[in-house]
Amino acid sequence: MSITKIAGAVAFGVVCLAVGWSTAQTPDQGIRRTRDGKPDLNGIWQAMNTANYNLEDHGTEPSQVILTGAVGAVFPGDSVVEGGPIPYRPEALARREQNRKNAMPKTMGRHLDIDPEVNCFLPGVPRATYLPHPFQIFQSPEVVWISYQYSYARREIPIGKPTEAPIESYMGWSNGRWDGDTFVVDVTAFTDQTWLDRSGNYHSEALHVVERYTPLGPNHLMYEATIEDPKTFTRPWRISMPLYRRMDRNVRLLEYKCPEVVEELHLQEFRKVTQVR
Amino acid sequence: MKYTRLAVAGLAAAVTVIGVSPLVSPATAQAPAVTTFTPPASTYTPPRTPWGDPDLMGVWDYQTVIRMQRPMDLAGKARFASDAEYLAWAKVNAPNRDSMGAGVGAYNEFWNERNFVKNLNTSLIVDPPDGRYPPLTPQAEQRRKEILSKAREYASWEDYHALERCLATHTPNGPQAYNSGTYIMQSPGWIMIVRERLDTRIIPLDGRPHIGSNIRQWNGDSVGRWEGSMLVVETTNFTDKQRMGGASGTSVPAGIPFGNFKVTEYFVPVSAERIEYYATVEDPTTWTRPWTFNLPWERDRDYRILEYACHEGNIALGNSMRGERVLEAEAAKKGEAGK
Repeated sequence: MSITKIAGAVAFGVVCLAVGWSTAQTPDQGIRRTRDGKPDLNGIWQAMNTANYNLEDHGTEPSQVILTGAVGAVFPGDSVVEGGPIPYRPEALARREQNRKNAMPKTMGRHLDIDPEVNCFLPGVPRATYLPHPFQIFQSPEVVWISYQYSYARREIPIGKPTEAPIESYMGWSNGRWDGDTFVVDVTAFTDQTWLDRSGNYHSEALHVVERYTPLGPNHLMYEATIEDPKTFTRPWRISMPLYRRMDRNVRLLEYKCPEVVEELHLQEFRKVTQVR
Repeated sequence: MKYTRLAVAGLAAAVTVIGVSPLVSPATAQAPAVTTFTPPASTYTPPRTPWGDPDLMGVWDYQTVIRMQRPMDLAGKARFASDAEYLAWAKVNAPNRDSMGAGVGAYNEFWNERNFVKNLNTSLIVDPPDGRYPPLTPQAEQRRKEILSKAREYASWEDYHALERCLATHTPNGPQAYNSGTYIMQSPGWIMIVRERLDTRIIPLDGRPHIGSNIRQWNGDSVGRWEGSMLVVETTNFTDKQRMGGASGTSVPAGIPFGNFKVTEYFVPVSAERIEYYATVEDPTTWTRPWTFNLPWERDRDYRILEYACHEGNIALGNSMRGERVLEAEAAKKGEAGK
């Protein structure tokens, strides 16, 4: 630790003492709390699993782009879905299988029937949580903001004063409340443009998600999301996974402005070809 | 955005016609010695967060009728003498503001906001004192001409403004015509600036160093500190690709790469409703001296930041490029026929 960091930490400690605000762990569960007694969710978090490949259990698979070899392979992982497979309606399961076949584009261009992550489109909820990128939570008694490293994804979540969605959106419309030590977020007003993973799991615009963030200790949260969409599923179903506090030195979100990453894919055909002399 | 004007947000931007306007002039004489800009102090003390930082949380906006540079007819006059003089000037000079009901107006008039923040300064630039951009270095002027000349080909997406590509607006924040609502959110050791349009800036306040020099970002890398009630944010690590002002949201003349910029921003709360925002731009490879602009921010309690799904619906970039290729093909055909 550098001298300046030590000085900063000492100064911060003095401020905490002065205003009586405490990040100290309570002896029972080791949960950090804010001054108003709620669990302190502030920080940079990340899932550490392979749910973004497939919410359900999946083995290793080769890369769809042969040239990328093992770097592009699908990493294996167990299911994050509770109580068996995702309960699709029969016709919806057929659509999922179709999605799975078409997840990667076959040609250059801007295709809308592929995995939206390939196009760098906003990920929706809950997918934003288990993308392989960190996200940062900002918390006050009135509002929680979650800013994701992926593209420009972010959410404003007012607490205890539910508001109505003015319009549907990729990230949906979030309203938060506390249920004991669990932060509960009700999310509605989605589009049908987002997928749940790279394997074609999807939903309709009737999607309704209820998320639960429960601290397990100072550096872990349990994340649960109940997914309800009567047009696509026969019953509500739930995923759950731990989230880990990123402990890296000087960790911060960096720019991942992926619209730039896909410009060649989307726009190559319109580029001016200059004769090489 | 106001609920009355919900974001369709298919496309951020008009395809901006970027001309080589004489916004900045090359250095012609030895620049005078310049002292570091210090913003005027404020006697206002904002409320504190539970952990003791000044509390600036909430939505702010910074619509303005004042331009970056002082208009020539106001040369020598740094401030309007009264609200009445400011309002009279604004009525006549506000660009593109009174077209509803008077002619067809601009194609995107519908989106333009009207809640201008009062500002008695006659230019946003407050340093140099003449309210104009300082001269560019001769090398920078040359580079700027090359960049603008190349940009007019629209050969690649890289020739378009970052905003038209749904990548970023600018740091520092210049005025913009719409969707400029900005949420300030805080947590212990951090401050986040959420621009409705694309960018989320997350600024550590714990004294850490900048990110590694190989990481170059559209909004650079920011670190901040409190000096009393004033927030000071220093930003470096800009990408050279961040350039080409001239589209809405600009605070830098067209064709100037940000790569070597060091931007120092000062957020000076002067009342519960107003922050005086200052930004100093330094880059000795580009400018003959640092310069500073002052854009007042005002609280807006009716504004809710909505999703700005820009890239998701951005078919205009491809259409614009396709149009250019069609025009080129037609021109080539005419050339063939003329032989």
